Amino acid sequence: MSDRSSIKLAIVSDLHCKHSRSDETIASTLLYTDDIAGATSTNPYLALKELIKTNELRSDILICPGDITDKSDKQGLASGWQYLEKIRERLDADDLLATVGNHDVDITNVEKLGPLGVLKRFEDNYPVKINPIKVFYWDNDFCLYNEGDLLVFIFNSCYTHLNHQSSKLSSIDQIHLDSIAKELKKLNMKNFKFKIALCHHHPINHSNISNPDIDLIDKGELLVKLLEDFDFQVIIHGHKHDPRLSYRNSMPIFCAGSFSSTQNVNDLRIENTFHIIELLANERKGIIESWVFIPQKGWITKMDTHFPCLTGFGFRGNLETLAKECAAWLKSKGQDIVDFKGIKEVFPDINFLSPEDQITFNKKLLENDIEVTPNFPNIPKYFGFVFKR
Amino acid sequence: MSSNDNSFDSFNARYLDFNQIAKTFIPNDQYWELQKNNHSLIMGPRGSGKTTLLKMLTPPGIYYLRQINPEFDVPPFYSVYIPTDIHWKKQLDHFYTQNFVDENDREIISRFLVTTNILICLCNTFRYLIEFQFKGNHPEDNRLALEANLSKLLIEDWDIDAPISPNLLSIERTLKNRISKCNKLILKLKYGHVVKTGQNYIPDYYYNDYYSLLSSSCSSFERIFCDSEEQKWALCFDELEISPEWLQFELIDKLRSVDQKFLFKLTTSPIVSMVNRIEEHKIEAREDEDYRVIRTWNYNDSCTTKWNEFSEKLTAAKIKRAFPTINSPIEIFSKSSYSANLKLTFEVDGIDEFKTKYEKGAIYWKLFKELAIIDPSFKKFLTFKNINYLDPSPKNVAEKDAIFRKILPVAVYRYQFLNIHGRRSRKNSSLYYGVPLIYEICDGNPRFLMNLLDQFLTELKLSNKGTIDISRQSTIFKSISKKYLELIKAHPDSNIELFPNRLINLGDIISRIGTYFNDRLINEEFTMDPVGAFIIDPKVPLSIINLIELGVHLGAIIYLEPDQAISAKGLRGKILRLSYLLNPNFELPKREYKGVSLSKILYRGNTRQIDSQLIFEL
Repeated sequence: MSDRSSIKLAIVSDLHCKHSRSDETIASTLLYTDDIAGATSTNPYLALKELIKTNELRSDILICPGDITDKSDKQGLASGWQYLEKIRERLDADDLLATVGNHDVDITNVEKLGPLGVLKRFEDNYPVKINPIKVFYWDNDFCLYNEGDLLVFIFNSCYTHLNHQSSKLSSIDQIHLDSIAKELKKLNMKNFKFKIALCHHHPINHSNISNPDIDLIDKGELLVKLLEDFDFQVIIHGHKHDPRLSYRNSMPIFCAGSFSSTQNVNDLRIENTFHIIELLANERKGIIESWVFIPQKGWITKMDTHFPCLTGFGFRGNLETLAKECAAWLKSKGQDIVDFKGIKEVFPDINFLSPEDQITFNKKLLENDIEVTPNFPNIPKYFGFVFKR
Repeated sequence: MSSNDNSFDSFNARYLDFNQIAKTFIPNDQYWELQKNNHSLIMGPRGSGKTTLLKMLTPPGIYYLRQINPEFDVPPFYSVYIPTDIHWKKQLDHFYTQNFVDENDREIISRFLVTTNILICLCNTFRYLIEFQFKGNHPEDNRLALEANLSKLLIEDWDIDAPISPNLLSIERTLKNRISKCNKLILKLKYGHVVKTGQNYIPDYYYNDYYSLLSSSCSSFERIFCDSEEQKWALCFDELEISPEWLQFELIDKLRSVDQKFLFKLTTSPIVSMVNRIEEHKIEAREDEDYRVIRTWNYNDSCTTKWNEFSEKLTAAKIKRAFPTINSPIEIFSKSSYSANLKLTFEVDGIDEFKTKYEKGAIYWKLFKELAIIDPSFKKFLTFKNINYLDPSPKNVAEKDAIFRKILPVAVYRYQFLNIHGRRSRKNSSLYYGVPLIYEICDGNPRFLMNLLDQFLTELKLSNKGTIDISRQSTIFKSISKKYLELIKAHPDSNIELFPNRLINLGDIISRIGTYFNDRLINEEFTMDPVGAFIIDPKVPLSIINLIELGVHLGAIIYLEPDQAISAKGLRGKILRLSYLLNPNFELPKREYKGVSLSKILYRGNTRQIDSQLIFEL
């Protein structure tokens, strides 16, 4: 395990699983606990099992950044966690790691156990399988899960959710930040080649056209800074259903979108997503593969999706220089056009272009009379000089 | 490296559709007929498998079929699959009704849209051929170079804007952009935002002709990939009936073509009606002389036998995939004999002690006797035939065959559903079950059969019994039948304006026909030869014939004994029946009976007025 040069992280976020009877007039999810005779073409969980089998997908860990259930539906929580367990098994992943999402919290205290009562008494392996770490998480609102060369910081961004009013906001205070720093200092960070952070809410702004951005983690930027100081490589969060990759300084922050909720998915004309990140050892570099769920077709990759089906993070070089070098290489080959795979073998940096980088790279290539087809951020097949009359 | 990498190019993702179809595809006579080196007109209602037949002719279809069976025959041509998009058809129809451009420009724009659609399909075919057929012939780098050379020729021929990367995907994208721009142009024309000086507002490439471009492009492909050796190409146009009228005429005309390069394989509804559109003598292409007609629906008993054999294979394969321990469909569904229903009705258990079911005391004997007691017209019928109604057993084999066998279905349905003193008897309405009835009721439509099997197999999964009892099978049939009728009623083209603001719906017409047959079968005088089909007689107006034609297209109405593929008279004078899938709605048996004039069913008494109950106001 210590020799590995990369690690694969599968991400299933914001399932919003529930019983169909607890749905309001408009369906807000695609994942129902009572869809027991469901078809792979309409049930995202069954379709994902099919995708994993067909494409022989594997990952080292499975991550769920919260909102397993919808409006604290107990049956949704139980079934959703079972689905995640089965997905982990099928991916042959060693661990399933989760954090609390605002929908997982019993803010109306229906069960009279307090907002987090049900979750604390839930499955032994929720949100992590090692008991002392789990206890630490519930006591301190965060934990550090370490296993071999892997360190995962997991933060409960819903710890302040005591009632309906307080559940609208999220924050982290100085006491937490000091405590996290103190715990991290206890570890020899050099022992970990892979350092990942996980929370439900977004630590930096994440606006979109239909929702005011009122629920980001207050003082989230201080958390990002702290994680950056301790050489964490990527922060993964959920909550927002439109997937996005952003940077805060050099820290990549990945919002995983939603696996099966239709809220803020249908209205934003975006897709439900499932991702696998391949993270390189000791670097803030990775490749993100994503699949979108299309009813009747299942989990597929396609053109012109809201979040690209193949993108990355961690390229910090100059795109103009990269484009020129690619053009020079193609010219030296004496060919008009080559398979895109070929160019990536020579210039592996292309793998780590973020969606924004990819679009700029199209333009820089065209300045050198080169076009990729289909254009980024779709998955290119060809790389070649343009034909002029 | 990532598994998504180049998944745009991956077989699994891109050709999933072809791969999945190939896995369940059972080649039938129609498919082998289609593989022949001639023009073909494939006729059948929606869901009867026409598209599947065409898709299995294409390079990826053949590739996957040969993965399953390496001996699978390859057709003597390369197929170009050209679907017609229903949304696109509606858009064109709407465009044709507008007067913001003159007739010539409308035709130019319509032709441009069709040509561009065909070129996109040709691009796809070239890509398929390069990936599936010529993959082993050239090393990767060389193949890309050849594709680039072909693309450069296409860019020139098709007036594609340069600079552009010379590959088929880029060309396809440009063609799709042209369609988007055309849609914008139509909108601008509609709102008067285009200055129409001469025809300058129409780009030059709108005048390209699809047939000459197909010819030159296929020649370019042969020059680059086939060492200039001439090949045969099959142009497979799917759903001719929803393509623009000018294209329908041109393609039917092309069925006479003796072009060495191109074959035409056209799919369409069970009849191509040219009513009021063309003089009969102008349809020069002749069935069997110029083209072969392949009919994909059950229009007679011989088709039903073949359909049952095909259905048996399809059902057995589907069951085997879901339940490997079940060996045959009959294990799940049992046989579709009336005796299972009657045993429940008369509460008879165990094995019959009788030699035949018609013997005195046996189950059919009981049925006839009981029916004669409650149904005076049946008693009258038996008496007329010299049969003792208190002991209704056949005197000999000839009498059994000529009378008893023939009246059995009518007797069963009358017994179960007869109105006695204003009350329905309905002793046991489970009459839709068993093999081969579950095949026959799907009426040659694989889509119906697959949907039905999906429901049955889900039921089987949940029940854990390994069988589905006859009443459950009947309930499922009835529910599907009801949903199907509702779907027909809700179809966007199901309403036609008969008079200003007064509409008639296809679903209502079907219901009227079904109820009429039910009435004649169950409630009126007993006859061994009831009505179960209808003839489009001269009294029926064209608007209703158009609705009936939609019913034929949707598979709800079956065209019997089709004598013509292309008809200037349309359905007038033709005999039709309701699809057996609709029978459970109207408590009708699966039998072909004689026909009656449609006007007799729809018109009030002897008048020429359509029954007002069928018409609704806006």
